[in-house]
Amino acid sequence: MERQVTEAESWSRALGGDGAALGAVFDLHSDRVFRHAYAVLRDVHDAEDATATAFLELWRRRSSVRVIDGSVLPWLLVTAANCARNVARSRRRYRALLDSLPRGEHAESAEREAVAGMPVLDIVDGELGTQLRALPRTDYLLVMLTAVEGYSTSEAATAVGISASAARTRLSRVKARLRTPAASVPAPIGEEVGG
Amino acid sequence: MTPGMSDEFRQALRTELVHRAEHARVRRWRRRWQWIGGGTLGVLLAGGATFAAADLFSQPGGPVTSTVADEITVTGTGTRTIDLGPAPESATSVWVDVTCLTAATYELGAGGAALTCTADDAGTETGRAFGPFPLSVLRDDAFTLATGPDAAWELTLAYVNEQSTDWAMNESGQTYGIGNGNGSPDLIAVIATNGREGYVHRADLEEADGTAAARGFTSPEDALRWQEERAGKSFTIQVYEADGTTPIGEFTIGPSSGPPADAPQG
Repeated sequence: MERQVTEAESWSRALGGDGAALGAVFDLHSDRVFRHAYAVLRDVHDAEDATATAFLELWRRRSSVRVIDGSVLPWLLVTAANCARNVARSRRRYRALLDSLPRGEHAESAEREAVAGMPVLDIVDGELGTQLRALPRTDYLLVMLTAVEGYSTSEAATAVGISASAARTRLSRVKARLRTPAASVPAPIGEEVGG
Repeated sequence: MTPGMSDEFRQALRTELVHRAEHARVRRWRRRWQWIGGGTLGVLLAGGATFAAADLFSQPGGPVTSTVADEITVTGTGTRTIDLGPAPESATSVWVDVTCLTAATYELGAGGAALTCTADDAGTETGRAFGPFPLSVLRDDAFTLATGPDAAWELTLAYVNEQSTDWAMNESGQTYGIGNGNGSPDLIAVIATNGREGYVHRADLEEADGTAAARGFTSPEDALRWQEERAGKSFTIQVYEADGTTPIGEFTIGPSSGPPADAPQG
């Protein structure tokens, strides 16, 4: 709860031109966003680009970013997922900048994983992961936000920009459609992240 | 095991974001303009300014102004026309920042705004005024400052892009922040009489300030009767945190014509 208040304040200050506050929002969510991009792309370099694009878009489109429950994370995740699904196109706007950013070593980051706290790949990997990634864009985003990220259906609907009832309909259709039994779709994860 | 972003990439990206936010710093404006003739002050008031005496600019829904072309700063004397060049596509306004260096009246561009300075104001912060002007303040992409031949000034001009930020939403799904071109949020930012920043319910505010009553008026007599009933009275409404339920103070609407000097002491 406190995390959300803090983030809302940081975002609000960032909108007021406070660079450090935007840095704080970045610190809060960059790992989660990267992991989602990586879950789709399976390539560190591409996932970095998708993460960077999501945050640069967060700033560029700051006046229309949907803040959900005090957090910009759902918006970031949706944007990163969209970027990841079409990484070539989404790179275009920031091509020069992305090329200028240094690429270091990508060490396995057990420490960061513990901080981020969520084995995203374990959840969406395997056959289920393959099926999820094959879903239509909106359905994929809804499943990702509800089953993987633990947002409520109505929060996910807001993040994706559709009504809650449309989201419910889509989610039940997805469940029926997945060959994997619905029971194996992971239960929502709690809010331990970033605290 | 999931790989992570490289530290170099992370740090460079973070630095870039911080730079972008700082570069697009909010430019605060003051209302010290006087309007000659039928100037549209509403343009500068940016809606909701009366009630959002709270820090307008950090509130959800508040304006974010970014410079979209290089600033031009000129120091001079007398009337001068300064060519800004064609406006970038993203420009929505012209930022005007003027400081008087002598006691005089300075007409600012084509919109009818002017700044008048006394000798005490000259060259000080009180002799400075700044804010966004509509692009129509320019003629042929040029800004004219008109004043007496001996009046000295310093002027900074820049094309800027102004946008309203989105309102935030609390856990109950109510929007909060300040009013803008999209209307008013469910919870409107105010400063309570105890000095704390908080929010009033739009419905409470409309009830207190007469907006709600005005909807029911069917004749000028209705409005007059309503005014008489309220004459000299002030109305107090509850101020809450952004959750809309935790009370933190009160907000008072004074008699409509007067300044809120009769607000109860906190």
